[in-house]
Amino acid sequence: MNTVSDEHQEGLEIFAQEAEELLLQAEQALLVLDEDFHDEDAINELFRAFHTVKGGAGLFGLNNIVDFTHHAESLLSLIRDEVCVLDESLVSLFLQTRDFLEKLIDFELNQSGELSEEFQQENSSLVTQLQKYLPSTKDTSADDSKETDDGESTEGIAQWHISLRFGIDSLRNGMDPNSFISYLAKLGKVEHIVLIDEAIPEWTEFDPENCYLGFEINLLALTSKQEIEDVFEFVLDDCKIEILPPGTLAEQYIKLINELPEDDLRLGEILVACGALTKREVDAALSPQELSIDNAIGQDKPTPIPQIGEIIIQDNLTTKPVVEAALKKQQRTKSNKAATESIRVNAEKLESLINLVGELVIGNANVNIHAKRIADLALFDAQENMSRLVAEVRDTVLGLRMVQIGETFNRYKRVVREVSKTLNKSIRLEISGAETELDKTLIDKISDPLLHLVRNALDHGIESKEDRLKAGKDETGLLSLEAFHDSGTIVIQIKDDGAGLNKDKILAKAIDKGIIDTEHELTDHQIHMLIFEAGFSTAEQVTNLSGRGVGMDVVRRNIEALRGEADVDSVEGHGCTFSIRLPLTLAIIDGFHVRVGDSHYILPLDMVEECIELTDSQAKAHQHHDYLNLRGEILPFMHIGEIFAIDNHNENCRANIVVVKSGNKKAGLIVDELLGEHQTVIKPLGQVFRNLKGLSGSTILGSGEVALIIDVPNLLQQIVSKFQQASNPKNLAKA
Amino acid sequence: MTIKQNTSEDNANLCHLSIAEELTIYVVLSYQEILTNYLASYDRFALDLSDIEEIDSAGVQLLIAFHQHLKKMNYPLQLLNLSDAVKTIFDRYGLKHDQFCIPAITGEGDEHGE
Repeated sequence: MNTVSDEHQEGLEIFAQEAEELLLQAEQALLVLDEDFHDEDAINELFRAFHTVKGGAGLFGLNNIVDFTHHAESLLSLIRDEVCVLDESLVSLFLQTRDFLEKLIDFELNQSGELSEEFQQENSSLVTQLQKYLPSTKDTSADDSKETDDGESTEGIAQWHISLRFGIDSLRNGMDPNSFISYLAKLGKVEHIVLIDEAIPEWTEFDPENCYLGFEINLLALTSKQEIEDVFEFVLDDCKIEILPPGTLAEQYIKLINELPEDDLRLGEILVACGALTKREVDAALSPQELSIDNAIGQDKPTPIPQIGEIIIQDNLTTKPVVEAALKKQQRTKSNKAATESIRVNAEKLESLINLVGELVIGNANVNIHAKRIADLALFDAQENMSRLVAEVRDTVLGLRMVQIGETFNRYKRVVREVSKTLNKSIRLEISGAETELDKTLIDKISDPLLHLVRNALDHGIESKEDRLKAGKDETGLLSLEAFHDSGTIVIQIKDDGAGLNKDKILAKAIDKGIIDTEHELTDHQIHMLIFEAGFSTAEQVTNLSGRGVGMDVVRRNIEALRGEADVDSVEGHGCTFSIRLPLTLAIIDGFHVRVGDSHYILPLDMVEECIELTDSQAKAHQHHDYLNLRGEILPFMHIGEIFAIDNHNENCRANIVVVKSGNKKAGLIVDELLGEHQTVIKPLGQVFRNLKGLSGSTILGSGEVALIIDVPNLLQQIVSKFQQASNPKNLAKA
Repeated sequence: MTIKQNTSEDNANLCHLSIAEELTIYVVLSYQEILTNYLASYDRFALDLSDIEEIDSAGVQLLIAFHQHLKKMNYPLQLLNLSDAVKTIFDRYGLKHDQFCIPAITGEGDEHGE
C-alpha cells in the first residue's frame, strides 16, 4: 500500500468515501432492524451496503476487508432469503461487525503492514460468531443450544438456477459470455451448465460475430440474487437473465421454460438434467397444455389455449401473489434507485462555482447602479430581469450545498442505543424536522458539538429508571432532536425530560471555580448559561461518556465559530433544552442595506422585522433611556453609530429604527438611512478582525465600497443584556 | 491465414484442417469463409485444435455452428487434439467434445449428440 500510483490513490479515496456512506447506511438499517427484525427494506439495504463494500475492497485488492465482509454477507444473504431469522443478538453482532469493518477499512487505507494481534483477534472472534449462524459450519455447533434460533437453516448450500440468453451484439461489444461465467464460478460452484445453441441459424445465415448463445446454469453458492445479478451488470440491458433463487417452486421453473424462446420439452429436459426439476414435475406441467390442444382440435371453433403460466396460476393460487409481490418489489427497488440518483461533484468545483456566483452577484449590483444612473428604460428592464435571474442562480447554487439534517440526526440513534444499554437507562429518541436543510459544511462542523450535547443529555440529563420512577415520571426517558427554520436561521434543539439543571449546584461550582464571584446577581437563564463557561463540568462522576476533555465551552466555541449561538433552557426536575441557532448558509444572503454616517452596513434581511421612523420628538423623549414603546412592547434600541464609534453620524438628521429579531430577542438599531434590499456575498473578515463582536463579515457593494455585515444575534445579546442590567431593580438600587 | 490443410492420402474426401493460435471474434469471419469454401469440395472434416492458444465464445460458437451444419448434411466432423485453451472453455461450457455438441467422429454417422 505504500507505493501506489496517484490514480490508485484517487480510487482508494473514492472507495473510502463510499465505504463511509455505506457503513452509515448499514448502521441506519441495523437501527431500523433493531425495532423490527423483519423489515425487508432494511435487510436489503444492509446487505447491499456490505456487498458493495466487499466489491469495492475487492477491486483494490484489500483482501482482509473482502474476507471479513464475506462472512457477514453470507449470513445476511441467509437472512434475506429467510433461512435465518434476525434477533436482537444478531443485530448487535452486526453492529459490532459494522464497527470493526469501519476500523478495518481505516486501517487498510491509512496504515501499512500487518494487522496487529488485537485486530486479528477481534477479526477472528467476530468471524467465529458470524459463522455460528452459517449452515456450513452447522455440524460443529449442532449440539449447541443455539440450534433453536435457526433450526431450519440446515439445508446446506443453496442451489441457484440461472438462465442466460446473451444479446446478439454481446460478442461484438467485447462481452464474452466466457468472462461472465468464469466470474460467476467465483461466487460458488457451477454445478451444472448447459450451453443452449438452438438460436444459431443455418450456416448460410450464420454471422459468426453475432452472439446466439444461451446458458442454463446451476450454481451452488451462499450468495444473493443481487450478487449474481451484479456479475452480469454490464450485459443486463441486452441480455435475458433469469435468476431463480434456491427453493424456487417447480411452477416457477415451468414458467421460465414457457417464457424462453426454445422448445419447451428441450428446456424441460435441460432443467431435469440440471437437477432443478424432476421429470415428473415437467411432465405434469407440460401435459395439461397438450391436453387442451387436443381438446381444441376436437372442437370446431378454436378455444384459446391456456399458457402454461396460466395453468400454473390456476392450479396453485398462491403463485400469483408471489409473482405480483416479486414484481412490486422489483419496481420498488427501481424507483429507489431513481430517487437516489445523484452525481458526485468535487467539493472544490462547487466551492469555486459558489465563489463565482458571489462575484456575479457583486457584478450585477454594479451594473444595477450604472443602469440607475443612465436611466434608460429598456436597460432598466433588462437589468431587472437579469437581477431576478442572478438571484435564482444564486439560490439554486446555494441549494446545491444544502443537505437534510436527518442523516446527522440518525447517527445519534446508535449513540442513544449504546449509551442507554451501557447506563442501563431506558431512553426513547424522537426526531422531528429531519427534512430541514442546512449547508453541508455547517452540518459537518456541527455534528461533533451536537454529539456532545446528545451524550450529555443521555448521561447527565436523563435519570436512571429508579430515579425516574421515584420522581413520578415514566420509566422511559425521552430525548428529542428537533430542527426547524426560524427567521433566516436554523434552530436545532436537543430536549430531554430528565432532571434539568440544578441552579444551586451550578452557582456553587461557578463560584468555586472562580467563574463568578458571590456578589453576582444572576437571572435563572444567566445561571444556566454558566455551564457554557470554560472550565465548567457538573458531572460529579466522570464517566467514559462525558469527561473526554471536551467541555460545554468547547461546544459553544464551535458553534460561535459558525456564527451560531448556543442557548440552554431548563426547568429543574422537568428537563433541559439546548438550542443551537445557526445561520442558514455561509456564503450569500439577502441583506438589508443601511447607512450610518459614511459607513455602510448590511443586516441579514431575514432578521429584519420592520422599519420605523424615529421622529425628533421621540428622539428627545428617549434621550435618557434606550428603549421605546413599540405598540405596547418594550423595545430596547441602540444607535449603530454609537456601537461602532462612528463620529460623523448625523445626530440631528431624521433617523430610522430597524427592528431586528433573533430567537426571542428583539431590539431596534438606529441608522441614518435605509437603502433597501441587497444581495450580499459574505466575505470573511481578516484575521485581525476575527474577534470583533457584533460583526460577522464584510461584503462589497456594487459601487465597490465595502460594507460590514452586522452579526445581529450577537449585537442583540449585547443590547438586551445591557438593557436588562440597566433595568434590573437590584442594580438600580445599588446605583 | 492460420488455417492449413493437411494432406492425407488415404482419405481423399477428408478435409483435415488445423487451426492455429487463435480462434476468436477477430478471426471468426474469415474462418467462416474458409470453411464455407472447403464445404464445396469435401464432405468429411477433421479439425485439429492442438495449436489453438486463444479461443473465445465466438470461436466456440463457430465450431458449434459448423458442426450443426455438417450434421444436417450428414457430414461427419472430428475434433482432434484439443489444446488446453480449448479444453478449458469446453469444460466451462459443459461441452464434452466427444459427447455433447461436437462429437468427435470415429466412425461414420455415429453421431447423435443431443
